[in-house]
Amino acid sequence: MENTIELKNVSYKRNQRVILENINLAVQKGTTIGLLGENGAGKTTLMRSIAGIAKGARGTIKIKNEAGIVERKALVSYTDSLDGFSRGTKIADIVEFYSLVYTDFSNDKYRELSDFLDFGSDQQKLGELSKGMKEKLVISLTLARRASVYLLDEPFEGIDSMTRKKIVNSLIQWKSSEAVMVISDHYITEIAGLLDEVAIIKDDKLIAQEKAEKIREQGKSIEDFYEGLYEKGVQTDDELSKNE
Amino acid sequence: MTSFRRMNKVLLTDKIKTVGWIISAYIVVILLSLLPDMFNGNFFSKQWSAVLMQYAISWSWLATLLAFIFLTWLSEKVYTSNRYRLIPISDTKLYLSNILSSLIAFILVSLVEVIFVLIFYLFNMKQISTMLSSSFSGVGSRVWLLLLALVLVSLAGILFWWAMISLIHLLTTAISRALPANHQTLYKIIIYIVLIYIAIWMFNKLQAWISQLAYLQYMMYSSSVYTGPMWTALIMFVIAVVISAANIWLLNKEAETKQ
Repeated sequence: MENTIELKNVSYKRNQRVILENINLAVQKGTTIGLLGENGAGKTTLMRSIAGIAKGARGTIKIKNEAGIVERKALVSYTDSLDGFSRGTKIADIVEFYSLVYTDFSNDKYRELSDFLDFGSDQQKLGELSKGMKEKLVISLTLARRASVYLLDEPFEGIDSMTRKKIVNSLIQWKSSEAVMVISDHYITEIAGLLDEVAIIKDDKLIAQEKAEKIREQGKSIEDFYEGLYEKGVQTDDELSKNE
Repeated sequence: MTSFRRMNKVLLTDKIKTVGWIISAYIVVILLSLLPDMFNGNFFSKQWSAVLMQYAISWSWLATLLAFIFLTWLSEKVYTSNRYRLIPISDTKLYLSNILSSLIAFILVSLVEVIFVLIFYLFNMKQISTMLSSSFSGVGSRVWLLLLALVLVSLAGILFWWAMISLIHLLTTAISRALPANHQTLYKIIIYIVLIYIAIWMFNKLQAWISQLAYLQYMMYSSSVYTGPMWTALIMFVIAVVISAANIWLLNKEAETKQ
C-alpha cells in the first residue's frame, strides 16, 4: 500500500542538543496514528519537521512522494497555536485569512466544525476565548483544510473531558478516508479507540511503530503497550522492520 | 500553493490596518494643533493653507518614524511566526511580498503627508512658482527630476534599512539556534549588539563611498545635482538586493519559527 508519510534517517539538532536521531517512519494512506512520548521527547519537533517549519532537519521527509518544503506545506495541515494573531483579532478575520492563504480550506467544512464544536460567534475576539475554546477553534481551522496529512499536536489541551470525548469520537469523520492523521496527546486512553497505529518516541529516537490491532490481539491496551515499552526501552531495528 | 497576489493581499491588509491608525492619529494631532489658531483667527486668514502645512510638516517626522517602526515590527514577525511560515509559498515570494506590502503601506503614509503640501501648493501656486524660479534659477523644469531623485533615494534607503534589519534579526535567530539553550536571552543581546555595531560601521563606510562617487560624478559631468542622488539610489538598491538574497537564504536554511 502507498505511503503518505515517509521519513528516512531524519535527525535534528538545536541548541547543541540532539532532538531527533535517525527517525525512520512510514505511514500508509488513511491511517490515524498516535505519536506518543513524554514531554520533550521530540514529538513537536518531529511534527514541525514534517510540516516544513523546523529548519536544518537532516534526512529525507516525503509527503505523497513530495520532498520539497512548499509542496509539503500544501499537503499538510498543522495545528498552529494562533500566536501570530493579536488578541484583538476577530475569529471571522482568522477564518478569512485561512481561506485566502490555503487553497484547500473549505468554508463549509469550517462552518460544520464550528457549529459542532460550538465555540461562539465569529465576531468574538481571540483574546476573549478561553483556552478550551481557542483549542476548538484551532481544531476547526486545521480540519477545515482538505489536506493529505493532519498533524494534531496536543489538540485537546484545556478542553473539558466531556467535549474531549465528543471531539475524539467525531474526529475520524472530519478527514477523508485517504488522509493521514497524526495525533500527539497525553490522553492516550481517550484517543486509543481511533488509532490505527502508534509510534513511540523516547530520548530523541523512534523506539516503536506498531499497529493498534496487533497490540489489541496481544490482549494489551495501547496505554499498557506504551507504558511497558517506555519502561522497557528501545525495540531493535529487526523488531521495528517486522512491524512495518 | 498560495499565489504571490494572495500573499500580498493578506500582508497588505494587516499593514494597512496598522498604518490606518497612524494616519488617523496624525490627522487628529494636526487638527488639535490647529485649535489655538482657530481661536485666535489665524486659521481663518488667507494664510490658512500655510498654517495647515506648517503643522502637517512638523508632525510628519513622527508619523513617518512610527510607520517605519510598526511596519518593521510587523515585517519581522512574519519570519518567525507559524501563521505565515506554514503558508505554502516559497521563502523568496514570502520575503518579496513582505517587503512590497511594507513599502506600499509606507508610501500610503507619505502620500497623506504629500496631500497637505499639495493643498498648500494649490492655494499658493503663484508665490511658490516665483519662489522656485528664484531659488532654483538655472535648474528650471528639471526641479522635478531632482524631486524624483530624492524620492528614489528615500525608497532605496528604506529598502536598504529593512533588508539590513531583517539580516540582523535572521542572523541572530540562526546563530542563537546553534548556541546552548541556557542563557539564550543573554546570547541574543550580545549578538544583536555586535551585529548592529557592524551594520552601522558598514553604513558609515558606504556613505563615505557614495559621497566620493557623487563627487566623482560632479567632477565628470558637473551635473551631480541630478546624477548624484540617482547613483546613491542605485547603489543602495543594489546593496539591498544583495542583503535580501542573504536573508532569503537564511529563511530557507536557518531561521525557523518560535516553538
